[in-house]
Amino acid sequence: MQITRDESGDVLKLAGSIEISGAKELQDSLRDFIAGTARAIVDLSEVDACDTAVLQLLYSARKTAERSGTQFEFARLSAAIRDASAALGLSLTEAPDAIGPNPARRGEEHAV
Amino acid sequence: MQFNPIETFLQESEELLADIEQCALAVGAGELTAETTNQLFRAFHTIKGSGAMCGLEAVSAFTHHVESLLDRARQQVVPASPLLDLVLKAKDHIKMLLGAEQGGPPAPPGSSEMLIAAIEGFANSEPRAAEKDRMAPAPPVEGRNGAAAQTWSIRFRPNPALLAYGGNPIALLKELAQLGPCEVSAHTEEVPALDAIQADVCYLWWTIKLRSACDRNAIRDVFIFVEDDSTIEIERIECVAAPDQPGNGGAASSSDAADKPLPDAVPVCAAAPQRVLVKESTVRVPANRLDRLVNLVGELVMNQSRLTQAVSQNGGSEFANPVQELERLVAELRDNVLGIRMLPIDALFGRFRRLVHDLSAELGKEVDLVTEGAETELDKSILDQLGEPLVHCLRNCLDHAVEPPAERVAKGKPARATICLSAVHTGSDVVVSVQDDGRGIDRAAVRAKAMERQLIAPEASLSDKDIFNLILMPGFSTARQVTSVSGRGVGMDAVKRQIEALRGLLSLTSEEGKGTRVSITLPLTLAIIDGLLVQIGSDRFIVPMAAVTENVELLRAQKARNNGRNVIAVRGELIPYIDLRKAFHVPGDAPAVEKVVIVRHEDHRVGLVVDRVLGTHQTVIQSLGKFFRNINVVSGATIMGDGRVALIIDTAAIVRYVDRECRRAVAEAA
Repeated sequence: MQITRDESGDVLKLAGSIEISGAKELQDSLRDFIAGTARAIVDLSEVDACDTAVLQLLYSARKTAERSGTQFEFARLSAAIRDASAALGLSLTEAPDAIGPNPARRGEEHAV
Repeated sequence: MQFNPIETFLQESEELLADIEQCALAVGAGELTAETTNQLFRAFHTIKGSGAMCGLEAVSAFTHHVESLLDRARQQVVPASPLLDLVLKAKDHIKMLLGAEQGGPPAPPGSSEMLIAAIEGFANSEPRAAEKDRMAPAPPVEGRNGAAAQTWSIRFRPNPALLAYGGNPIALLKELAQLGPCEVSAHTEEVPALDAIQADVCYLWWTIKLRSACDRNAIRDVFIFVEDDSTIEIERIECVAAPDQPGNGGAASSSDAADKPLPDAVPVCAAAPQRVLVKESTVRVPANRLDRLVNLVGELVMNQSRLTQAVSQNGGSEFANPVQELERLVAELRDNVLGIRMLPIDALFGRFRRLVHDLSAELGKEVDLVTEGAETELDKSILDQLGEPLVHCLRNCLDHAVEPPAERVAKGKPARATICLSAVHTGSDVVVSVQDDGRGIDRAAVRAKAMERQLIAPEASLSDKDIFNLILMPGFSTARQVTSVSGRGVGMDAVKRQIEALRGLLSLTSEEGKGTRVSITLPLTLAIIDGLLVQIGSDRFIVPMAAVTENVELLRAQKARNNGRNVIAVRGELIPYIDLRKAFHVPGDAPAVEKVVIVRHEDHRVGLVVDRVLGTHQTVIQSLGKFFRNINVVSGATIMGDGRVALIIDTAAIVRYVDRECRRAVAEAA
């Protein structure tokens, strides 16, 4: 699991396999991230695998941000994230073009 | 303590195998419902799955074949009647395989293969029409052979610890989606904010609408490994035999239920049976930990009693209230801890169904076992020791009391005998009884046998009770032949001894030609009792309060008037009494006014004469240890508030002891 924050401080990028074993680290990162920005964007484009604990945590992060008045968006949902959230019936609404097009959807756009 | 998944599996398997036996016997008793078959299927399925997870391949592979057979039974494509024997054999075989994993003897070579061949041969046989008719219709089995699609509403609220245990709701919901198009709605309202969330706790729960031609069992099978700790409710909400609606097929669609409530336009099928499964959360605790807890509470009770005594003797009024409150809390703690050890007697009764089934087949008799009051609770330590005496009683019943079917019919009785095993609370006791409708006790035969063994004089006049008591004497049997089941006469006296060791009472009633009833009266617990503290000389004793009926005074003049006959008149009733000072050889003179503690003994009342009655006492029973194991008249000891030891009087044993001594004295005098 890799958690990186871009230079602007507004984008938190998660990559690799993010699962319950790294949930505590992710929870701390998300808390600090939301506290330190007015517009929080979580880039999920490079997430290879995730589980229920992590999706629940992401949902909690959005809830926390909304309560504190911070704008919060998920961007560029990877196929793994979309597959898992669909299975769980959990809607992680993706902000289109928040930080550029979603590479995971490129194929779909071509298909259309 | 380190978590050992194999040990947990072995423990769970024991329970599952017991369930399997009960279900299989229910099938044998003619209760072949789809639900019974499903229960069997689920139990084997769990053993298979958990066995594979624990690496017990032999168990898992064998169970797979039984599961396949039961799946065929669920589809009603195998005849039902011989199913019972195969399932019981399979259960015994799995038990043997599991025993081998625990260091027991291995299964005989080739036994698995032989049984698998029998199972496969049976699974491929054709059903008879009558067998199909026997299958009860509820719950309806849909979805086989191209049945109509239906909509199911499923509520899945997992145990919050599911994620921590490695549970995977994503995999579950994906598996469910394989049954048909799903609308999964996650309920997110309980998900806390980031500063309060615990990452390994599952706050989410789900409602799912599934459109499928599958049956309820297929849905339940998806949740089979989580259903023990989760709430899973499955309802059929639509009965429409229409093809899937456009847009309804394919992958699961999603929505957040907290934000968007489910559409409510689906008509409810009024006749749809609903089954709500609410599993109680339980924790498995080793019995020795519980025993340690009970011992600690015992110590606490004793210390609290010392504290109360110290406060009452040394003043300190500011301590009075806290000590009183402590007393209340300790009593509550005691009741709760003892309550944890209480188990329903059903676990014991369940074992006997198999025993009765096997023995009646062996003896060529037809017997129904009826159980009543199976929910009655008893202390675990009593239950553990009650099994053997009850087995003796049942074996006697089946072998001697119950007549062969032809004899029963000739006597105008139904060919099938009934043995009723019941348990009922009576005050602080539980009465467990075994009653049959067999031939009853032949009083003349008992009398003849007793005379032959010179136990009674030929002219002796015996009441029914005396005659029945003869049966309880060591080595007494009227059976004409010794069978493998019983008849050696080593049963009933052993039963009586075991019951008395549990501070219980055994009694017999019988009506010739109609049946016999063996009643066993047992205390609810063996650990802590309410006692009456009495004093003789400088020694103190406890009389179990459950046996005490009343206390009266005995004046020295009264004793003198009776010319050595130990009886006292209480409201017109003459009650014999035992002078404990004499019985225990306590030195010194008795006070001018003594107390008689009147206790119940069998159907009589007997007085125990003591110097003083000091009051009630919460008595923690401590064993006397092996050096004093031959002292029969006391059942243990307890430590008093001041650190002194008081012996607990076994009222039945002291009555027997004095009775024996009197008879010996009379015999010597003669």
